[in-house]
Amino acid sequence: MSTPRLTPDQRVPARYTGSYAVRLAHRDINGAIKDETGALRNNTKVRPGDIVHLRAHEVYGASYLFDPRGERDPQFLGVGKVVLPEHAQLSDAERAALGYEHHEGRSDFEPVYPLEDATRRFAAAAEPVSAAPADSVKPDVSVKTGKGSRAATTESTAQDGSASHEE
Amino acid sequence: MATLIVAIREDNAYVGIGKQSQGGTAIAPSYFPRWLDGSNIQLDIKAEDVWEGDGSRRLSLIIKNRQEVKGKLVVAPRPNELGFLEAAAQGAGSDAFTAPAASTTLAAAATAGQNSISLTADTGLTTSGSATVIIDPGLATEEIVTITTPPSGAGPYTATLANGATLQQAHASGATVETAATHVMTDQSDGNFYSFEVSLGGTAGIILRARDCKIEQIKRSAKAGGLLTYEVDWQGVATIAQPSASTVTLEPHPPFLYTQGVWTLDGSTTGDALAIESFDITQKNNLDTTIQTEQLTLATLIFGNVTLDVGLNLVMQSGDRIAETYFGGASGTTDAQALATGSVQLVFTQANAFFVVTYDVPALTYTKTEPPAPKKDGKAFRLAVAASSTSDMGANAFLLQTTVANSVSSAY
Repeated sequence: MSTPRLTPDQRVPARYTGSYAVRLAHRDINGAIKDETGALRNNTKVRPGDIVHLRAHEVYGASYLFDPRGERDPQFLGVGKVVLPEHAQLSDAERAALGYEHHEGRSDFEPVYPLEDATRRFAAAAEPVSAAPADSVKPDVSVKTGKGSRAATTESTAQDGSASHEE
Repeated sequence: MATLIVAIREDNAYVGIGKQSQGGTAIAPSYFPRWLDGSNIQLDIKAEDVWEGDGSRRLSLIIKNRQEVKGKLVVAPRPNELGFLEAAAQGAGSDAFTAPAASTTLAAAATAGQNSISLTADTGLTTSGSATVIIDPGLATEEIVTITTPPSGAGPYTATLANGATLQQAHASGATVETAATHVMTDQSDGNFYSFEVSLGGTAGIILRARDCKIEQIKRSAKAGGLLTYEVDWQGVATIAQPSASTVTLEPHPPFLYTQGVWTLDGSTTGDALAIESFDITQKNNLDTTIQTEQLTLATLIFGNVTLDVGLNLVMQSGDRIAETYFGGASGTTDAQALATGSVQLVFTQANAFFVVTYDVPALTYTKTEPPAPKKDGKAFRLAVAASSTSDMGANAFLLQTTVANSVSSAY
């Protein structure tokens, strides 16, 4: 059984932390703005403290593995800070030299749930890893949380024992 | 059945920008300025033809030496976006932020139609005159009003709305009331890194995120009756196609208008200061785009020398400008080495008096005033004036100081 994982497009709740209200673009949302309960909102205005559902990669960031020589296609490793098991013991600098790139989530939103919790809550409803594009996600990877790590625990959350979520 | 191609509308696009916490780590965008025509993203390569002696006269190979990413954002920035773009252009640590002078709350609920409000404190409001405050910032009932200062009473304080105005919204007791935050920005030695994300047709097309970007050039311009517009030329280090689009969030405040500007030209608010049809203030950071080491892309970008040029188009009222530039002064009559010097201060204040941007160029050297060509069309002569900002031999610590009053309550 593969570990459920968030796809970058999976909507997850995030709290707006900007200092002024913003308006969600209509065409981007297509009338499907959800609040913290998952109910549809009828207002595109987002005020400080509001919770709306954004795409997972915007909230938790995402990880990629590039070929530093630029000869092979980059690999999308997944939402959050994801490291292949064979590179788990390396330092950030050593990983960077291998081509790791961790993108951060939006600075004006914060995750409502740590990545592990969001994965448990929302990934089940999303596509499992096996249904993702063949080159987009590698199985058996260890996962470190990005922005959501503040409230994260260090417990292993992998369902098949192949992945671990760390602070 | 015929098969139709899948066309994508060319307005299906966005430009998003995020300030990175560090070099090398891209970030999802949080600012999405509404782009105007002329915006773009460019992926450039430097390639090399390899002519090898293989007994033929044919090119045998082409290799890619370098890949670069850069782009242009044309935008009529909203007040909070404007501060963000200015901070990116001026450099790291450029924002000398001052929290709102007054930050208090309503001591009692207020209803729409009231001509006064009750405040719990008068700190920052004690000078005689007026102050523009925002009530309920960020909420649906957000409202900007100008009050007469100082408010009356010994606490709570009663503040009367200036010019007979009344509240347009109801506000609860305890609602936040504050003046604008102030961001004073000057050019610094180097810039922060930013991520620029450009969507060209969304996931149906391609979404490109460039990391470790800096501003190469920023041109602030406007012409009579138009919008204050920015042209931002940026360059990045590396690009990755994103698997998913970003959620576009838009600042709801209005842009600045040319008619909201007040000029002080060479210390005077009259004369040519009233005859400016259009202007541009162009800052060039002269990025060093040559730093390539082991990889295909650049290893980093750093600010080079900063230059600031001002262009003015004036309705010609006299020959003084021409004489100043070429004859050593307004009363000069022949070639002279002396260059005319001056200054520019330009203040745009929105109708609500809350959002304000001030451009201050204290030391200008006029380098060109093109004598206009006569025409038989019966129209007025115009003068195109060019000037460059200097530090006045080190007397000034900046070429341009941009002061933005807006509702961003922390440093950019």
